[in-house]
Amino acid sequence: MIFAFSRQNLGRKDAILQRFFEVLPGAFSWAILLGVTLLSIFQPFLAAALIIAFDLYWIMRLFYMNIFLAVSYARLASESKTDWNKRIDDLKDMDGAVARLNGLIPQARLPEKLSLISCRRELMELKTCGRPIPSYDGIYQLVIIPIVRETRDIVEPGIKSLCEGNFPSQRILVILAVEERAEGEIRQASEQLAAQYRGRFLDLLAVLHPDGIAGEARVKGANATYAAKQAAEFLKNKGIPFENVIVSCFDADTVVKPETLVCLAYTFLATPDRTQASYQPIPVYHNNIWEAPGFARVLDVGSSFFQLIEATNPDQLVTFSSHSMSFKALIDVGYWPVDMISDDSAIYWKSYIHFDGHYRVVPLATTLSMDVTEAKTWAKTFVNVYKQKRRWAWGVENFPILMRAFTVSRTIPVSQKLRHTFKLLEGHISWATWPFLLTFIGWLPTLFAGREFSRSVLYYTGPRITTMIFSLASIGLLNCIVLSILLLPKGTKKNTWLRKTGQALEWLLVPVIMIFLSGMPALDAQTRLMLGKRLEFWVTAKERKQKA
Amino acid sequence: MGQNILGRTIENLSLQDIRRASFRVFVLLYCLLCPLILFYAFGYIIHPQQQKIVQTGLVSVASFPSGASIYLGPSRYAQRTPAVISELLPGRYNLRVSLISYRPWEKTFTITAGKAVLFDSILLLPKILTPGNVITQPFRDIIPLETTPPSCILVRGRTLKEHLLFNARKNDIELLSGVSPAMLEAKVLDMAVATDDPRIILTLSGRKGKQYVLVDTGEQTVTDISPVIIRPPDEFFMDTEDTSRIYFLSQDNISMVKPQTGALYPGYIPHTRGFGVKNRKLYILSEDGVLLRMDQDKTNPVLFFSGRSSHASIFDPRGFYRIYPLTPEIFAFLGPSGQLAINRLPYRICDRGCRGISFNDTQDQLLFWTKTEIAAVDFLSEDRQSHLFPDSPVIRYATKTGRDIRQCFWAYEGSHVLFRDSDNIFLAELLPQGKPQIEFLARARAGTNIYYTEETGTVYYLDPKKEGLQALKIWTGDSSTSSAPKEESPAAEKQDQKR
Repeated sequence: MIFAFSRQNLGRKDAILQRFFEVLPGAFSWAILLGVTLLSIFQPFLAAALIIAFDLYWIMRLFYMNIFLAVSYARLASESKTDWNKRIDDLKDMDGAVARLNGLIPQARLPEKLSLISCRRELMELKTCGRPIPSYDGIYQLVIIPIVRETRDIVEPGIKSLCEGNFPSQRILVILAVEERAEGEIRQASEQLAAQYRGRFLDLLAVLHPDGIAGEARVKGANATYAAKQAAEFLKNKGIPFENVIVSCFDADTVVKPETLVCLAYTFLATPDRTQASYQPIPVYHNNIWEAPGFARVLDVGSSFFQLIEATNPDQLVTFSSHSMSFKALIDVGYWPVDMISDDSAIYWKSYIHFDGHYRVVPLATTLSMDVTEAKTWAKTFVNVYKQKRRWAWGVENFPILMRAFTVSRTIPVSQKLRHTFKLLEGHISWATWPFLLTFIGWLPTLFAGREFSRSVLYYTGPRITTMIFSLASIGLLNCIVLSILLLPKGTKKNTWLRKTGQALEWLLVPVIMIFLSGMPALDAQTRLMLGKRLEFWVTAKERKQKA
Repeated sequence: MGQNILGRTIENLSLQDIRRASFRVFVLLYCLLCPLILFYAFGYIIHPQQQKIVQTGLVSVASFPSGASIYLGPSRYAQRTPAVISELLPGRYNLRVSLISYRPWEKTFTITAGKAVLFDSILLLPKILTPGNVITQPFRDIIPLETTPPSCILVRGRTLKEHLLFNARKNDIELLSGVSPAMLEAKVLDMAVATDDPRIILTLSGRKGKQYVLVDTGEQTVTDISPVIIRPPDEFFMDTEDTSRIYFLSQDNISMVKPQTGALYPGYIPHTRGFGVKNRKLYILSEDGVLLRMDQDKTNPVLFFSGRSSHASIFDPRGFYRIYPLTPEIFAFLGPSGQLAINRLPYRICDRGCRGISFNDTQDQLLFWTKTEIAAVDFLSEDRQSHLFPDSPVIRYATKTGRDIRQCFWAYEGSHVLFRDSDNIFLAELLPQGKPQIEFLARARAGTNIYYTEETGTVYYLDPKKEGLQALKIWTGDSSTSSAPKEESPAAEKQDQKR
C-alpha cells in the first residue's frame, strides 16, 4: 500500500484524524488515573472492586509474562552453543540435515533438543515454501552506526566486535553516520576510526549527514536514511544485489557477539520471505553494567526481559533499538522515517503498512550488548534515564499514523488491525498507568474511606486481597532476579557473589523505578502528544566512567 | 518419562502455539477467578450447612493492651487482638475479650451482611487499679490547663504562691515563673483558661486592689493587664493562634486588649449576643441574629446566617452565647443557662444545664455534659437516626444516670469519656452498638477537680484522705505527643504551642 508514513503535509481530514488519534492514548491514560481517583472518593465500593479486578489481572499477566520470560531465556540458552556456520551448511542439503536432526533429537538433552527441534522446524518450513535460498557467500552485511555525541571510546568497541566476529568481515560494509552538527572532535574521531579500520571490512565509510535537509527533523532516522542512501550508491557501484544485503542499524554503543552476524545471516537465509522481515536480537546492557547505578541497571535489565518475552510472540513483535532487515525492503519502503523520533519501531510499522501486513519481525536467538545509561552523577543519570525512557515511550507517535493507515487500508485483515490496535494502545496505556495504579492509586479507596465504606467488609478484605496478590508477585520478582543473574556476562572477574547479591537486592527498587522511570516518562510522552507538544530528539548521553 | 512428554510436546507445538494456548488458559482462569474473588471481597461465601451463597459480615477487634483472647459466643479464636474475624453469618453475637490480670470486656452485637462492626478501641483495665503517689503533700484543688507540655495547677491555698504549676511530663511542680513577690502574696479570686491555650488570666486581690494578670505557661511570661481593664470583665476570650490579643466581654460589648503594647480597644465589637475567636478570626452573633465571621481587624466579613426566624429557633431571647467554631462549618453556641445549640439540625441539643463541652477534632465529635447526662454528638456518622433530617448529627449518650457530673475528658483517642461524677471518677466507652460500658476508676477528694492528659493516658486527682496528688494510668497515651524531652528549647516550646 502506498502510504506516507508521516504526520507532515496532511490534508484537512487526515490532520483531524491524526490529531484525534494523537489525543486518544493520553486521554485514555488520564481518564483511567483520574477516573479511579475520583471513583475512590465518590464511589469507593466500585473503585475497590475495580482495583481488585485489576490487581488480579496484573498478577495473572505477571505470571504469564514470567512463564514466557523463562521460556525465552531457555530458548536463548539452548542456542548459546549453536554452531551457526554448521546451520548455514545444513541449508545446502535440507533433506540430509532433517534426517540427521531426526536421528539426533531423541538422544539430545533438553536444552540441545530445543535447539535441534527449532532448527528442524525452520528447515521444514523453508523446504515447504520451496523458494530459492541465496548463497551464504553472496550475503553482505551493512551496518549503519549513527553518531552525534558518541565519543571514540563508545564507538570503537562495537567496530572491533564487528571485525572480530565469525562473519567474514570482508563482506561487511560499516557506515559511521555522523551528524554535521556533531562537535569537531566527534567528526574527527569518526574519520580516524574509518581510516584505521577500513582495511578490515569491505569498507568503512564515515558519512557526514548535512543539517537542515528539507522535510527532515533532527532525528536519528534522518541520519540513518542519509547513510543508507550513500550505502545504496556504494553497493550499486560494487554490483552487490540489494536483496542479498542485510542492513543493521546499531546504536553507537552496540557490541555484537562473535556469532551475532552469522546467526543473523542464517536466520535471514532460513526465513522464507526474508526480504519482508526484520530481525531482532535481544538487547542486553552489559557494556558498563558494573559501573552504572543500580536503578539504571534494573531498568535496563527489565527492558531486556521485555524483549525476551516479546520474542516468544513473533506475531506481534515490533523492532526495538538495534535491529536488522533486508536492505531491499528498506529501499522499497523508502528508508527510515526522517521526521520521527521512534525510528526503531516506526520502520517496522512503515514496512508493515507498505507490504499490506505481510511483514514480520523474526526474533534472533542471540544477544547484543549496549550501554546502561550512565552519567557522572546519580542525579544526572536519573535525569538521563528519565529522558531516554520518555523517548522510548514517544513510540506512541506511531499509533496515530498507524490508525490512519488502518482506516484506508483495504488489504490488511480486520482481525490483524484490531489485534495491533489493541496491543499498541493497551501497551502504551498500561505503561503509563499501571505503576500509578499499583503503587498509589490502588490504595486510595482505603485512604479516602468515608465512614460507610470503612464499615464495610470490602474495606477490610480489599487490602487483604491486594496484599496477598502483591506477595504472590514476589515469586515473579524472584524469577526476574534469578534470570537477571543468569543473563550477566560470564567469567568476568567482577561478577562476584557479593555483587550478585547486591544486584539481587537492587530489585527492591522496582516500585520506585516503576513510578519515576517508567510510568512518569510514559505519561509525560503521552500527555505531550495529547497536547500537541512535540518531543525533541534527545540523544542519550553515553558516558563511561574512567577506569582506575 | 516427564522429559519425554515435554520433548514430545515441544516437538509438536511451536512457541506460538504454546503462547496462544497459555493465553486462553489464563483468560479462562481470570474469568473464573475474578468473580469469585470479588464475591469473596464483598463477603459472599457458600453457607457451610445450607450449601447456598450468603453474604457475611465481619468484626474488627483491637484492644489495649493487645494480645487479648477473643471469644465469639462459645468459641475461642486462635487469633488474638488486634484481629479481624470475617465470614460471620448475619445475626447476634456475643463478643468477649479477656486478658490475664485485666477486667474482661464483653458485648453483644449484631452482624449485618456486607458490614463490618468495629470494636477497635477496647480499653482493658487492670483488675486492680493501683494509682501512684505523684506528690505526697496535700492540695486543695486541681485546675486543669490545656497546654503542652501537659500541665495543671495544683492549689494549696488562696494566695498565688500557693498555686503551683504541675508538669505531667516531668512529674514536678514549680511556682508560676516571672511573678513578682507582691503578686505571689495576692489572693487568687478567679482563673480564666481557654481551650487549647497555654495562657491563663488570673484575677488577683492584693494590696493594689483587684489585679488582672496574664500568665503564659508556655512562654513562662507574666503580664499585668490591669491598667487596660477598666471594668471587671464577665468573660475572657483568647485565640491560641494569636497571643498578641485578648478579648473580653463587659456588659454586651467585646473589648480588645493588646497585652504587649498595653493598648485597649474598648467596645471593639459593640452590642453582641455572642462571641468567639479562633484561628485569627472573630465570630460575632449580633443582636438581630446575624452570625458573622471576620478578620481580627474587622475586615472581610462573611455572613453565616441571618434573620430572626433562625435566630429564634436557636437562641433564647436573653443572655450572651459563647461561640465555639468547631470546624470551619460547624459551630456550637453555649448560652448562659447552659443552653447548647449547633448550626445543624436539630439546632438545640441541650435546652438547659449544659456544664461544659469538649470537641474531638480528629473524629468531629462534640462532647457535652449536664448534671446527669453525658452525650457525644457525632457530626460524621452515617448511621442516621432521622431520615427526615438526613444531615443531622447522631447523638449517643454515654450515661443518663449521673448524679452530679462535673468534668468530662475525651480519652483513648476519642473512643472513651473519662468523667467525674460527684467525687467518683469513671470511664465510659462510646460504642457503635449497645449500651456504653462504664467502669469505676477511683474516688477523688470531695469537691475537687481532676485532670486527665491524653498524652500519657493518665488521670490525676487528689487522694480523698491524704489529699496528695495521685496518678492513675489507663493507657500508654497518644504516642504522637508523648515524647518527653528532659529540656526543651524555646523553639520547641513555640512549636508545641502552635500545635
